[in-house]
Amino acid sequence: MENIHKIPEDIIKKASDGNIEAFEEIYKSASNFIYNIALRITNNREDAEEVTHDVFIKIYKNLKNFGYRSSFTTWIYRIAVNTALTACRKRSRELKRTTLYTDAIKIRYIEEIVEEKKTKERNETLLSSILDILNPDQRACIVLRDIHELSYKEIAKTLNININTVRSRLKRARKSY
Amino acid sequence: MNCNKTQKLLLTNYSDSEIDERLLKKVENHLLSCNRCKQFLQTLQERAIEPFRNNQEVHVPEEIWQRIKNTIKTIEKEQTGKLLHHLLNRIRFPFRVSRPVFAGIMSALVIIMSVIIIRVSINKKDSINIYLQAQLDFLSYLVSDDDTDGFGIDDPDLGTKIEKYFM
Repeated sequence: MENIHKIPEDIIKKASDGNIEAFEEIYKSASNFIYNIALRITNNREDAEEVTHDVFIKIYKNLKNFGYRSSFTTWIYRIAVNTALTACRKRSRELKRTTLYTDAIKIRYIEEIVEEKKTKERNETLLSSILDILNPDQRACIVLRDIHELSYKEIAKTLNININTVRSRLKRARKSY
Repeated sequence: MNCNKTQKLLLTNYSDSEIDERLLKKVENHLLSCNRCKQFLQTLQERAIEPFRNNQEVHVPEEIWQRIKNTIKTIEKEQTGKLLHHLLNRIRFPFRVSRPVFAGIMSALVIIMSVIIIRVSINKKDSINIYLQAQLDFLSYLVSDDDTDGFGIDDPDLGTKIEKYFM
């Protein structure tokens, strides 16, 4: 996941001139990073694949406009998180959620899983169940904070919200499980 | 510091190490004396923090790159198509004006061309007349016996006797 920080500037420049080999280099360095953000925010593999595809198309189209005003990583974070959030909103419009009842079931399910010995698969299931309880905005904050270890300030910058909103979303998210 | 305030900080700044020294000491002092909050922190760590810290990176499926490449190819084709369409539109522009406007433009062109042609032909006529007049004057001089004509050659002195003889 650290590879994204090591993308050389000349590769970015070449890719912005339409060099597909340079763009593939960016893909190799950033694809897992983007896919994981998308997967945790959408909490759905199909959506995560779609979001990863869309994020790279957005990067390809807008690389010319990337003016190094922010770091390349922050720029990619912003595109990835926003695209994932849009995908979540689209899906939630499609599927009306029956929140309270299902949430109660999920919380009980988490409790059962916590009781069991943690293995990689169980942790994955647990993670997925926890994320499923949260709304997309809370998920984005939790993913950026607890998986990517971004500071409150960085999260606020990425999501274009203020620090108090970040704190409030984290608090509500953690309270709900 | 009361339990409510402590738990609020445990959920956010304390767990995320975004807390200043003064508040940190207050929270820690409260935790030393409050079992309820200590339990709250333990549950929070177990359920809300640890699962994310143990997160395993998932690898992106291989076919995604192929899909991205195909989309890029389609985008590039569309862009080339758009560019050609734009160029063709530019070329077609004069023919896309409405009929009355086109008829007006063409009529104006015909009128302008006619005026130019007429003016050129009038100018040409004048120069032909002058030329013909000069030729007629010259011929009339040749056929006349009068030496004192408009040319002003009146017994020219050519300077030598032999020349005078031939003349």
